[in-house]
Amino acid sequence: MDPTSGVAPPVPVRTLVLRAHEGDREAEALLCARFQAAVRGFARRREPTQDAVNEFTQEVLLRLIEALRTGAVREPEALGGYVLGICRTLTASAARQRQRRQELWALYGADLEPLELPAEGPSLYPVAKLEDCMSQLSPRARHVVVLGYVHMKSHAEIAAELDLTLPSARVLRHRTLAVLRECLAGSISWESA
Amino acid sequence: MSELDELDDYLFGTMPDEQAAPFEEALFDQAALGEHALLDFVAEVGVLGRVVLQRAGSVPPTAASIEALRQRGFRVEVADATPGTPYQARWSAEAELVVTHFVLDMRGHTGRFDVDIETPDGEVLKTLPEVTCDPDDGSFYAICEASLARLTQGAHVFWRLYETENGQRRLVDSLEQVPATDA
Repeated sequence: MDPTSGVAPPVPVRTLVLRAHEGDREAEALLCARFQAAVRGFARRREPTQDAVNEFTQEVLLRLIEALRTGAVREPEALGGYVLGICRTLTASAARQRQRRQELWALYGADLEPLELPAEGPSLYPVAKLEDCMSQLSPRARHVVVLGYVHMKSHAEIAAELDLTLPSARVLRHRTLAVLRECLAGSISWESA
Repeated sequence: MSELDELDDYLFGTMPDEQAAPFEEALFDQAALGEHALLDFVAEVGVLGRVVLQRAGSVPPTAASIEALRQRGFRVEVADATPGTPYQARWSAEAELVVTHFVLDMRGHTGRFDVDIETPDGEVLKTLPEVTCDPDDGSFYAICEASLARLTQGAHVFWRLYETENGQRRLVDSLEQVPATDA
C-alpha cells in the first residue's frame, strides 16, 4: 500500500493566512502548495513551454509569499481570487518584469525552494503505480498522455503528431485521462496476485 | 462532460476564454480551500510521467534500447523467460530497471499482440495492449521499475500472448511465472 495515502482535513484558509502573516513558514508553505497546481494550470493554458510554466509559477508564488508577509491579503477568504489576480496581472504585463522577479527571489527564494519537487528521488511507489497504469494503455493512448502532460505539446501539435483530427485528439485525451484516474485510484495490479 | 474533461479542455485551450474565466475563478477558490484533487492528478501525471519516461523510455523496448539505458547509467537487469519453462522473477536489490525477455520469435506474425497476465484461476490482473516485438529477433521485452517488479516476485501468474487478426483472437504462447524461491 502507498504509505503516503493518509489525508488530513484541510486547515481553513483564513487560519493559514493569519499564521503566515505572523511568520509561520509552515502555513506559508501550505498555502503555496495549495495554489501551486492551480497556478501551473493557469500557466499551462497560456505558456508554450515547461520552462515558461515553471518560471511563471515560481513568480506567482513569490508574489504570494510577499503578500502574505506584508499583510497585503486583507480578505483571507478571498485568497483564491487574490492569487488569480496575481496571475492575470502577470499575464497582462507585456514583459515579465525579470528585474522584479530577481528581487523577489533574493528575498523569498530560499523559502520557496523546498516546495520544488526534488530533481531526483520522488517516492518510487507512485512512479511504479503510474507505470503500471500506463502499461495498460494502448500505445496511442500512452502517447497522448506523454505528449500532452509530459512534453506539454499543444492540442494542435498532439493531433498532428498522432495524425488525428482535433476533436478526435481531444476525445482520446479525455478517455485516457479518465482511465488513468480510475486506475491510479486503485492499487497496483500485481498487489492482488 | 466530466470535471476532468473540463479541466483538460481548460488546460489545452479547447475551452473558450469566456467559459475559462469563471472556470479558473472556481479553480482558484477551490485551491484556497485545499480542494485540488483533479489539479493534483494532472500534475502528478506530468511529473511522474516524466520520471517513467526518463527511466523506461517512450518507445517499445528492444535489445538496443535496453543497452542504451545501461549506457546512460541505469542499473538494468534482464531475465530471459522461455515459454514451456517456469520462470522465476528474481531481481537483485541493486536493480533500478528490470526487463523480462520473452524468448520467442514473433517475426512473420501480422496481427495485433496483447499480453494478459492471469492468475492460475484465470483472473486477468492486467492486459498489456498492442505490444511490439523487437524487429531484430522477434522477441518481446517488458521493462519496468524494479520497485514495481519486486511486487511480482511472489506471484504465480501466467503471461499469455494473444494475437488478434481478422477479428479472431488466439493464444500464441504462454509463460508461467512461479514465485521466486527467495521472495
